[in-house]
Amino acid sequence: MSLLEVEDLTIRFGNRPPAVDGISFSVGPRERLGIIGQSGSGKSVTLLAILGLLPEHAKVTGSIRFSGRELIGMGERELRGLRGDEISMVFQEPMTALDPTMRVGRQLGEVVALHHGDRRGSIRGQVLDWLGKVDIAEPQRIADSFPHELSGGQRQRALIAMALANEPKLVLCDEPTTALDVLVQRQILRLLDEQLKERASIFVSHDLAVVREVCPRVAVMLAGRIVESGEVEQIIARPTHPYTQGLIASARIDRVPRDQPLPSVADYYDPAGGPR
Amino acid sequence: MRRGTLTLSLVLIGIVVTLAVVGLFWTPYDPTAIVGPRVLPPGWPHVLGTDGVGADVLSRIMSGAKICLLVGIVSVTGAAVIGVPIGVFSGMTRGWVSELPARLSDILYGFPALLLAILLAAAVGGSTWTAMLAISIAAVPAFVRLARSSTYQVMSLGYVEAARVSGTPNLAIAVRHVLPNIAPTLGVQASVSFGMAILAEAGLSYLGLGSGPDAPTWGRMLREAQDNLFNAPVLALWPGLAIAIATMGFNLLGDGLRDLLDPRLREVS
Repeated sequence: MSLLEVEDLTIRFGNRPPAVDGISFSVGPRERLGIIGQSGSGKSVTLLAILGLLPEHAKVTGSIRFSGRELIGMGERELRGLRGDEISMVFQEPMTALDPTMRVGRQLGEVVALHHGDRRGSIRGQVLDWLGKVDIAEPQRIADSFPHELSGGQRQRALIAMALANEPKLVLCDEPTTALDVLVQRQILRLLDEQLKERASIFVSHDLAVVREVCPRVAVMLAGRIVESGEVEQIIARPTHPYTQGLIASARIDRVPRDQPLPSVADYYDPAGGPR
Repeated sequence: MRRGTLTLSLVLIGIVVTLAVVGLFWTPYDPTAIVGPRVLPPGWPHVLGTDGVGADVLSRIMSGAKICLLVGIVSVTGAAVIGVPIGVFSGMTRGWVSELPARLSDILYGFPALLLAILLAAAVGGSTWTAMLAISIAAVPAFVRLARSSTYQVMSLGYVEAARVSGTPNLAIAVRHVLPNIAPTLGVQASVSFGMAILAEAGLSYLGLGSGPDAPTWGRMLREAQDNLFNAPVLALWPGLAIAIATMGFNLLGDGLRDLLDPRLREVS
């Protein structure tokens, strides 16, 4: 059975066209799903819907089942119990996702204390343990540092430790490497790949290369719909939707002869009128 | 230049605080007793002279510093204790529960503190406490507005989202993440409000709506000096100077702190 089952999920804000339009997918207990799409395609909104963190005026229909429990319409208190404990999230912006007024170790500890108040005594040990597991060289020193004293890579590692500290069943990664430079991006991807082996995860990105590296299965989102999904290699080899074709062509700049304009998604897909 | 503002403000506040702290334990003479001939010019043993009834001016200035700081501390603390939670709550919620306190404080903002104090004094009688209450109420809207707008800003930042994603209850978010991050801005406001409170208190006791005759305040001294304005204008100088030093000190402190906290200004220098 799947750990997460999303069925016919539709999210509307006011009278505008739906931000997410009838999407369905499922993620098994140890499965990793990549969701690719440009900004505004509805991928981040989907993640927020799974966490029950959409603004109040959002109209949500369809079904999101997690471990057999329906999340849509679930009470706030119950949802709070899930967040950070069974479902957690790795953020895009390591620069702003840590509170500048709080030491890193304490921030990590808060997440553990929030859901497992009984572990109070051993929290410091757990925090150091997790900082070590995400390959932070001096856990003691980093735990006692303020966020501004850390590099971008270290912050993202700390945030990953925070997302994993309660051993969640499902980890949502929202563009976890976008804000990092290429070298650090690589290290973080490897770390996530390693740490997420035993869990279910959803990996949202606009970067096909990043998703390809860590996700065997991928869904392509466009204007709130899933336009294509399946094995990542298969989709790269034989994209069927013009948007996906454009996405792949624009990533293969090594095949473009000199003096030729680089291909872009717009050469393949016109947002106003569908395929070109 | 900015360092200069901050230093100057600390020097000015230091003068007032020193006068008040020393005045707490020792004044050259009893500030409310007649200790010498009337209207003595500055000299010895009455360093700043004596006033229209023969009380020692320096002693009264020191005693007034005490009251001035007390009024500032009590009314600013009161305003912050009431205004900040309302503002933070309003900034964290949406809809009419968020709008109502904001609009109410807008209305209160337009209501002059002096008028409020006169009404209060008429209702319960003028005293230092009436003055503090009126000044405090008048300072609340500034805190509500500032706390609300700063909370809005903080709520849109990544770490608040991260806290919500971790399942942190709203009250814990307010206490752990919002308050520490808006505290510096509130500190600036507190400093500016402090200066305004001192000025307002001086104004109220000048009008006779502040403390009674047994508690010499600077505003009251200013009014008493009016009787001898032509034969001893120097009597009006001392309390006026004290009010100016205190108000300027706290206003400059606010400016200095604001500059210190503004990263854009920090880069320019």
